[in-house]
Amino acid sequence: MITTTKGEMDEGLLQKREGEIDDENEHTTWVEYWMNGDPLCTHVKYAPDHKGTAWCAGCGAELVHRSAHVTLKKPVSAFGGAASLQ
Amino acid sequence: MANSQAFCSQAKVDLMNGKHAFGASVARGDTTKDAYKAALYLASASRGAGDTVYNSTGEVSGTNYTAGGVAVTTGTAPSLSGTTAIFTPSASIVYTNVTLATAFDAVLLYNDTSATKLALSVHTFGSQTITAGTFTLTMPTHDATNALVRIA
Repeated sequence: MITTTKGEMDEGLLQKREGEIDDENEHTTWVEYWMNGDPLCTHVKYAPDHKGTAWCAGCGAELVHRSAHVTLKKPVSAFGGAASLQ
Repeated sequence: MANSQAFCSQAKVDLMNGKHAFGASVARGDTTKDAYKAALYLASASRGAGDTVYNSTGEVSGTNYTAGGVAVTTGTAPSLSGTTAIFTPSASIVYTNVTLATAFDAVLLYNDTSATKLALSVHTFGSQTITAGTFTLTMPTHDATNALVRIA
């Protein structure tokens, strides 16, 4: 079962799409579940409407779940130093 | 053995632990560690090195997200790795079952114990939205090269 904007739904009723970003700053994975769309569509997301619902621009599927997992790689640093006395 | 000019390594950790006070504004009523929180910011916001305190301007909003963000687990005290003082939260930062429909790409860590909510650091990542899902920020390895916050 998948938690969605419609409540708990059987995963078999939804189209799953996953992705990954890996660069010097982060390693990110994400998973989306789409409802009522073309199973062959790659699902290009529209900006959310006034109700916060996102739709696929290609087939009209509705995005009902999206989770993301970001692993940060790039630290923030400060550098201490001691000056010589003149 | 000769003398060598240096920023003493332990002093870096001591700075992280608030043991040095060059200004007169430090007033601490107890000896327990401070609590930290993590707030998420829209991709359109302007968080960065200039931030001095937590600021709700540009913070995300949505289902199950509380303004100010979530608590940061600080189970591992700052330490020295070689001559670098390092700090990394000891657990992932997790926003559970949220809907954040507008793209966000930054998290601000700030001191929730301090009266003014002093800013600690800003970390950016690729833009994300979350729909009835979980957003997880996993911390890097806690060492001199990768720790989330370092004073080298």
